[in-house]
Amino acid sequence: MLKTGTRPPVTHGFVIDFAENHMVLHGISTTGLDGVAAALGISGPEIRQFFAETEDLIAAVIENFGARLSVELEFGCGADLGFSSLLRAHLETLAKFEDFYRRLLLESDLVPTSARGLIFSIHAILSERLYAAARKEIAAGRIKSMERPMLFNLWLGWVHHFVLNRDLFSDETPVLQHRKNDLIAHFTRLLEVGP
Amino acid sequence: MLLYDPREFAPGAMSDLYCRYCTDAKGNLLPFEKVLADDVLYYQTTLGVTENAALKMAISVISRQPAWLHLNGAPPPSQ
Repeated sequence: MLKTGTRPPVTHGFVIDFAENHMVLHGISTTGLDGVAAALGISGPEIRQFFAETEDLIAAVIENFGARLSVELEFGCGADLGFSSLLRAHLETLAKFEDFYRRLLLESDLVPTSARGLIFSIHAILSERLYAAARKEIAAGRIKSMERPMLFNLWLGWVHHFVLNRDLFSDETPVLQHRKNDLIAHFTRLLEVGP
Repeated sequence: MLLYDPREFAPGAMSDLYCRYCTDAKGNLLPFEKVLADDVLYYQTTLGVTENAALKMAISVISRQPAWLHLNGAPPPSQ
């Protein structure tokens, strides 16, 4: 439990950040509002001033990830990042969130449907942006033509394999930070149109 | 729908309760069935998932939006 004198004031944002770390250590599906409150050193009613249900807290942690991803991908600026830059931005954001994201993958059948739905939503937006960038490369004859969902699922499946088995692919975490250059280089090479 | 781009809010109204995916050109809330069908199609075309999976996920996301919170037992919003 955090001692009152050692923690900053309990705010909505602080609870989200704390909960993310708590769920990484103790699991997402096994964490409840009262457990997070106890670890924070606050009461059940106090944490319910911020979140009515555990599901709301989990959703807030995932939405926080989505917001970070949006900044990295410059959704808010409407900037058109290139294909490789989008892949890099995705990995760099995911690397910062890797511990929680890995937990989410491991517990995907156990977490509330809304949590999966939010990740699903983030992936759908990412797929749309990625394909928009890929289409320019396809039109220019630089990468192979591929259906939008297949392109995204090929990328995501590979990324997930590295995240889930990260102890095999890097001695240090986050694995996506250490292996991002390999992942991007090999993925783009796979897609390149040959001579 | 999660909103991360100012263009995704209802026209000229980032402070509005509803996004452009849930409203018509005048900012009026669309029927739930229309929003749901659009979301299901969006998930299918971007992610290649089955219609059933897309439907399940779309309902879970839409039912957390202000206009549809009453599907989870909350009172309907007043506009």
